[in-house]
Amino acid sequence: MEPAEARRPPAILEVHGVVKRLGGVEVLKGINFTVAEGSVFAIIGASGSGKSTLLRCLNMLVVPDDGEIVWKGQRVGWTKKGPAWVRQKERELLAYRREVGMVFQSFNLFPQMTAMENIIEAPVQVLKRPRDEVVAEARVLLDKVRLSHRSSAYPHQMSGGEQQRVAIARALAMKPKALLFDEVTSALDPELKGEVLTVMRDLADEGLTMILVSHEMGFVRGVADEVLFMHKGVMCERGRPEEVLRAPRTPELQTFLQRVVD
Amino acid sequence: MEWSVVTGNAGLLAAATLNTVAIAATTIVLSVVLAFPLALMRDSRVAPLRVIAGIYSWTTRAMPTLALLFLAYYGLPELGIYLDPVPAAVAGLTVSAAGYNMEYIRAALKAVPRGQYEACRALGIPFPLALRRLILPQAMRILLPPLSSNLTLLLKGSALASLVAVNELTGQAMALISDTYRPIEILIVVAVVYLALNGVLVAVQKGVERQFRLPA
Amino acid sequence: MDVIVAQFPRFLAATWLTIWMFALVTVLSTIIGAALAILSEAAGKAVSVPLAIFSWVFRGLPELVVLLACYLALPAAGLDLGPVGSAILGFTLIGIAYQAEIFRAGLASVDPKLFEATRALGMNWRLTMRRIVFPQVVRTVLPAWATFSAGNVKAFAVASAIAVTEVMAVTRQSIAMSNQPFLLILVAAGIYAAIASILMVLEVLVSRRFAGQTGANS
Ligand SMILES: Nc1ncnc2c1ncn2[C@@H]1O[C@H](COP(=O)(O)OP(=O)(O)OP(=O)(O)O)[C@@H](O)[C@H]1O
Ligand SMILES: [Mg+2]
Repeated sequence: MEPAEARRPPAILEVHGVVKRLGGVEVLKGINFTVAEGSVFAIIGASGSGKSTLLRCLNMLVVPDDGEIVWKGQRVGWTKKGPAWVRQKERELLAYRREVGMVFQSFNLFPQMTAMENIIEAPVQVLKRPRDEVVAEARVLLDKVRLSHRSSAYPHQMSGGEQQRVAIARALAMKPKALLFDEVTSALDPELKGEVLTVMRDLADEGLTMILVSHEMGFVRGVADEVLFMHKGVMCERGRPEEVLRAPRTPELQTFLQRVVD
Repeated sequence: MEWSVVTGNAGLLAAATLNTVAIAATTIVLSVVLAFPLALMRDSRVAPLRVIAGIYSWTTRAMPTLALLFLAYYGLPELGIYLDPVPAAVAGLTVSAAGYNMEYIRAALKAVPRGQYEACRALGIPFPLALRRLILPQAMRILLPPLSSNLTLLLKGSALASLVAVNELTGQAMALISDTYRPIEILIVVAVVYLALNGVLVAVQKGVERQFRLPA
Repeated sequence: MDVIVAQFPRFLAATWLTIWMFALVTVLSTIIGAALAILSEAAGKAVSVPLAIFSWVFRGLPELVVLLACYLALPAAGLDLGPVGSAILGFTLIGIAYQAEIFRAGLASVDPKLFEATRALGMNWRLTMRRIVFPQVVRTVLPAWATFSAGNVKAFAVASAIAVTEVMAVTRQSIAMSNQPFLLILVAAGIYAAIASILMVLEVLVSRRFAGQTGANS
């Protein structure tokens, strides 16, 4: 149907007909898309349209009620036992979550640990890797997020922008194949958004697969390979940002874009 | 005042004080250890575990501690379980204190922001590990004040052991009073010892709290 | 079961004794504790320091030691109140120690700025107390008061140790008669638990109500 599809690299993540009900309301009403390896996929939409819920479904923090998510050809969250599909336990999902990391709007750094300790915690404790090796890697990561000088600072001693960059480094320390970003700059003062977006742009340039929810239209336009506009749990428009954002076809997206620009 | 009843029996009182300390310390440790799984059960996804923990919490908080001690000492033999006075007292005090401890632990675990639990899940950290290394140290700051005030109550509660024939401080005091009939001197000394032990407990609590404080 | 039937009147009398002792102690210690808290707020260190020491001592001592002091030491000093009188005195002293702390915290929670605000509005002292201070104090005091009271009933079982024939004492006598300790202790525990449960439900209702009002959620 779309000739562009043929030229795209193979999908690393596929989302088929995902439905999620929360408190009796259908928050996601059948979402379909694929994400190519190494690409940046942006999700936009008004507050309450279901963006966070969708992102949290992708790493199974929230379990979809219907549909399936396929990661590298494998169905996520379900194991085939004979003819039947069996729900995986939380424990079994952990390995998948290590491949698909997540960065939150509210940073969620561990308050009792320094930046360095936050970053090395999971690789050392979960992956049981040698501490020295992990610390050396963490230094490189801190350098990448331009925080080499803050390695022994505690979260409450850092600005929001610094905390968020540590959170990104913490997620990267698990060497994920993809990262999910849920409005990671929304809680930041305008002057601090830039430093976080710069780091994210670097990651995109390095070829990390990224799926992000963002209200930063300039960033989405400049960095995303594909944009999905959601409205009340439905996929409204989808395509390359220069097309979708410049020439919105639906009145919903037109209204949304006008409101964001203001 | 006739202080010789105290000085003359200083050895007995000192030994009884050690018993009080041992009973209180054992109960403190055991009641906290018992309370943790109960606190987790109370919010478990498995409904029967939730119900059991809920019943445990309510009944042990509603029953007099003394009734639990009597149950352990006078009641259990009827079921063929014979406990010596000290284990019976420790069992009764532990079961009673765990009911309160579990509520404090539960409240503290709930007070840790949801985002912290989610960050752990998103990093692929198994729940037991997340609990031990990341959640508990944060919960500790909220947990310590109510927990340690409950542990102070436990020190006081250890006096009940005297009523199941344990020769701790209060029991020894009662024995000396009936021997010497000098209640004023003996009870003054006993009161001072209890207050001093309380002071030690508060000092320990302050030290532990400092451990969990964040650097400025 | 026979024991319980045979001992039923005595259990009933013991339950009634426990309830009225608890009620009397609660009323006395609340009134005296509140009065001392207000007094120490008004009179300063001359009252507040001795009150703090009193409160620290009686919150730090085992109930049993306080009761023994009232039951054994006071007669030795020439004041014999008997078992029930000693128990009431002992529990009232302990209750005052806790209630004074609870009311002190309640008074301290009133923001001094409120007084300025009411003065700016032209409210007089009595009106300020009645409309502003009192509701605020009640809001902070009531949950703590309910928690303390719910926990405090059970402590009355200790009175059995100084020959007060409350529920636990009747239980011990019945055990000696019948050799069915487990059942009898459960009955006694059940009687206390029933009284405590009524107060615990009250505690939950009160704290829920006031948690809602201050906007804090659990
Ligand atoms: N636990 C829940 N129970 C009931 N409804 C919920 C729950 N969580 C979210 N919702 C509802 O689901 C809808 C989608 O929420 P979601 O957080 O995914 O939106 P969003 O697009 O991320 O919004 P925002 O831009 O404000 O972050 C909202 O209407 C929200 O009220
Ligand atoms: Mg959201």
